Amino acid sequence: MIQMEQKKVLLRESFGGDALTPEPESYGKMVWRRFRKHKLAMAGLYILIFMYALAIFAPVIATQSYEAVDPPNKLKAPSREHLMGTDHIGRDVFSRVIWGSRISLSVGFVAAAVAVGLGVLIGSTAAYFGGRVDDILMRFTEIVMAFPTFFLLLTIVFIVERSIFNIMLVIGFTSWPSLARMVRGQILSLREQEFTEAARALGATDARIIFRHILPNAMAPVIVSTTMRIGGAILSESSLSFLGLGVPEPYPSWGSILNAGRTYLLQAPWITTFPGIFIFLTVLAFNYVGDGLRDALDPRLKD
Amino acid sequence: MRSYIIRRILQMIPLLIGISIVNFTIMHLAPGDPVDLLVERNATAEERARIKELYGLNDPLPVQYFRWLGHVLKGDFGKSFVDGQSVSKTILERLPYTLYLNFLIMVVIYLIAVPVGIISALKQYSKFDHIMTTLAFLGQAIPSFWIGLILIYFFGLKLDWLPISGVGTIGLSVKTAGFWATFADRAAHVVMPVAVVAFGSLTGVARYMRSSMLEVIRQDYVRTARAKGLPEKVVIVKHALRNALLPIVTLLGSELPLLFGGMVVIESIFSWPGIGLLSIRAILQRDYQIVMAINMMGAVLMVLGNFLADLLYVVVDPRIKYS
Amino acid sequence: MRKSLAVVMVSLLALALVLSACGPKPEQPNGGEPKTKTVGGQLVLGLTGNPVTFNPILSTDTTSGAIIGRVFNGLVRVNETMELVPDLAESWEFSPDGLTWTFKLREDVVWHDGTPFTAADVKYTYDAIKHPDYAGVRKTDFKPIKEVETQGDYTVILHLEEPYAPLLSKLTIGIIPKHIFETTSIKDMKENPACMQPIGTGPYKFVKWEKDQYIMVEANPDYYGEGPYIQTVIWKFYGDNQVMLAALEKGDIDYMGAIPPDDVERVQQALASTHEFKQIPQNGYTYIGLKQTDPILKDKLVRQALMYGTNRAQIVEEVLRGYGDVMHANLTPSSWAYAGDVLNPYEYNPEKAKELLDEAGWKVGADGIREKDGQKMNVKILTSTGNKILESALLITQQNWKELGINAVVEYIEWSVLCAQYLDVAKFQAYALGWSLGVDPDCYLYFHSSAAVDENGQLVGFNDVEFKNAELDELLERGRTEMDKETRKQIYVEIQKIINEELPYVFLYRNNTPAAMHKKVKGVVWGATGPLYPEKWWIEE
Repeated sequence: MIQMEQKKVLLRESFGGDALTPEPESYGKMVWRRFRKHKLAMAGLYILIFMYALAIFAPVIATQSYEAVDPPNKLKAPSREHLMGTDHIGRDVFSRVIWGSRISLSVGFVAAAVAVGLGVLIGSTAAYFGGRVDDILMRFTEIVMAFPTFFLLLTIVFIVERSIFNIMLVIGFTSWPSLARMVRGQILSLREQEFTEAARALGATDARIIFRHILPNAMAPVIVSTTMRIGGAILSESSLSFLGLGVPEPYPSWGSILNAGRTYLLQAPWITTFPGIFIFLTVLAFNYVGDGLRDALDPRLKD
Repeated sequence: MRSYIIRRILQMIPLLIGISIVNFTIMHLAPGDPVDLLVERNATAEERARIKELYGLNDPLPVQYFRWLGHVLKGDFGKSFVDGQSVSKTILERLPYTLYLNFLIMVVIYLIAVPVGIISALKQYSKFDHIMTTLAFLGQAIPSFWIGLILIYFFGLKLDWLPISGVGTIGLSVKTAGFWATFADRAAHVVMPVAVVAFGSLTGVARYMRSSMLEVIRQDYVRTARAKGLPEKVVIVKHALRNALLPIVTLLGSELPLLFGGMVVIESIFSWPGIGLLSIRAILQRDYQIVMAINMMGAVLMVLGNFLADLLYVVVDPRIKYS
Repeated sequence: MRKSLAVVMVSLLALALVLSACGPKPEQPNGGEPKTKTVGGQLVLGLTGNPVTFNPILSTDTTSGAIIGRVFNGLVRVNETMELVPDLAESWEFSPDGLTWTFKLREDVVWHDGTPFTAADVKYTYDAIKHPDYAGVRKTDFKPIKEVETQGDYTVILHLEEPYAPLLSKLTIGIIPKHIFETTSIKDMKENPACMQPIGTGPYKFVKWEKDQYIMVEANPDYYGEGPYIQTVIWKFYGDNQVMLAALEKGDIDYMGAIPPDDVERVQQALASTHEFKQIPQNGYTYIGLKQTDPILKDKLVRQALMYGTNRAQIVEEVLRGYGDVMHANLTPSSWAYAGDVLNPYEYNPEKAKELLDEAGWKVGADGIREKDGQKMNVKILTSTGNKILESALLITQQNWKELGINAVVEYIEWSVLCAQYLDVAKFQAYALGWSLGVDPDCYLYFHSSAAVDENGQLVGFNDVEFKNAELDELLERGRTEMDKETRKQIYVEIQKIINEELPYVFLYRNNTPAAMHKKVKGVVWGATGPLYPEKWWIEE
């Protein structure tokens, strides 16, 4: 949902600007009309609204505390009292999953936003200008690709502190390079196409060509990649927990609940199943929204 | 084009040096000191200093770096602080296992993902497309340790069809059991790890393929080709596919370095003696020599992979020009 | 013992991924006289973690230790009741002043390469540890030795700086062959090929090590003692405990030494007919260290309240599933010097805890948190990430303490950061970790005032909580120099009583790790800390 809003704002900015020619229908309205027609995308949107609502209203929805332990009732199967069962120390999995949506959705969103923002900016600048600019930006990208993530995190934890926000930033700052390369590849090809040449011939500015003509056409893989990245970021947070650098106990995230349940796969499958389902639904929903957005934004697609 | 290639190759040298400086610096800034693993926790300052001196850990970072660089340029990655063994030898022992596993994984992924992506795109929003999309995201959302353990319980333990872990049965070799028995044994051991990683990573490739294909078949030149009355097959293969493969090629380039050390979880679950296990252990033990060597090998692969991908762009899309 | 913290914790951290360990071991004697012991067969043991080196004096990890134990011998070894008995040394005697220890060595021992074992090997091993270039964790153990003297080929005399009783327990360390190692300098010792392909005197000869796959040893026909009977022993590597468990169920391995407590019941049912399940009591314990100078924790009443107010029995019952013991002081029931019933068990009693806190002047404030002189009762416990059992125990502790009106916070910190920022500089309010102990009850380095922080703020020993007690200091000093075992036992009982009363730590638990051994393995002696005498086991299909 927030993701959606953000996208629209971003797009309005990139398409608007000097292009405020009178149109029968505003751009945003047009996109929304097209988007609505995409059933799965709408379903995805509703799922996301639902997920974010869970996160926002977690204190009301969660039936119990996310941290209260109850050792004699550990590893209990789902029941009326514990809708999703209890974990290895008797905490209510349902309440942890609900609270966990806060951290997981923010990690996914912030990390993906940072990665996509940087990736698009650097990738498109490099491709459009080419030559020396391309060389410098792409070599820089490669240096970042080779960062030793574990040590980077350790250093940050050591110098600053281990906070959820820092973790999100690090995931974002280390995962943009592949996106930048993809955007660049895409734009290298678009740059040489006829409509770009036409725009150039008409005296359009660089910024206008990039934002108005090239980026919209390069959006498809970017959107796909973004939606995939959100899921990826939710999961990378869990692998960081695994190394002792993720979100610390007792705070729940879907990834950390999943990780903690890994040794109870046979005895207590509910610990891993429920956060797994939430991750899956979120990833799937983002993906369908992404699909719908891509179609809605496609300048070539007539309705 | 030729000047571009030469330029890129020349850039690799400062680039790799830059990467090594960044890696070296970050690693040494991070808390944790290899000396802690060499001496007792209650060692006196003098004792620690002496051991640091012996291992050259007292020198300023730049001195340590240039000493390291000097050795590496001579092809010597040094010796591990932890076990005193040659780093190159330690890595080479594990490299074949990693390459073997990853090669199979790549083949499986691309063999399945590319056709699936194409069909999904051509039959957008069909049942096939929906099922594939859902499966693909299931693959991404389920952590690999989960699938790995489930497969082990089911196929390894309950059905007893496949071995649980390792690369082969101890003591079984071509010499003792003959070629085919050994082949079957090795194959049985590799099935599950390949399946788990492939299932998890198919998603990415198939999705990119699908979206890129979708993008391409809407392009004017594809429409034109169709309008010309060319058979659908020709349109798809000759016109659309070539261009749709472009992002996939990029992906392949950026996945090369993942071959190196990106498989920690799978290697632990299936007890696969590859680079991933070595690398995580070296990281935890602050075995800088090994960590640096693995990172640099990964970096070289990455740089080469990107270079290759950039060249392939031109092959796939001749319109692209590098200035 | 000293190495323990770093090594044990690094291991724990990496548990599922890498290090850590559970050695080899095995089954139980079936009471009656054994039938004929068959020679031959193969034993496969599960192993997590990758050994670092097979050099006994350099090795720090339990994984390497498992293999070293079968390939090497020390002058003495530990028996099933944790007493020291002869191994390479046939007999020994102490001079009346305790400064000269004379060891008579066995004369029938040969190295695996056929070279005879002599006193020179012993001297070489101990001198290597004392060498300034030696980079290992045994230095403190051997500091009390002034000089190692040999008389002829089979007598070794140790000259000590001062009487030091714990030294004997350190002589369990494997003796390494001088003729192999003297070719490399001490500094480069770990590069000697014999660190990877060890040559020892033990019942098993090293055959091969495929890294991260398996290690194989075979029976040494020239072994001087009884056995070995089992022809081949293999340690198979597993990167994940759950997978090792599956391998045990499948029959890929015959022994698993550290079954997660939560899995025992299920596995035990599945394997009841084929496997013997045993508990391996660990000679170590988990605790919460309390900074004795902290404004809140410096009050003994508060520390006792924390002890009463922590449901340690529940931790053992629920987290360890009963595979453990509640600890009351600093020695485990495995030790010969364990004080037992004379200690206050501090049974869980939140009411008593609250009374003690009230008595200490900490009154419950409006927000439910206790306060005194305007200060809130905030306690922050630091701990390392990655040890799930400890994490669970602390979640219970935290809840217990909150119920007492203490604002308890647990902070999980990556191990190297925890060390660098807090432990090594002894800056913390409370922290939770574990110690693994040696055979000897000596605990000077943990609780003697001189082992705390020096004037430069540098931590001298392991007394990072800065516990200082003159009476205890005196006892600790006597415990080290007294050579008579009975007298020593009395001293250590007194020490435990003081610690039990004064509480430098909140003592939590020790683990009794569940282990499973296939019933085909016979002749296993289950000692105080696990299965012993592997050379005497045999296989009966």
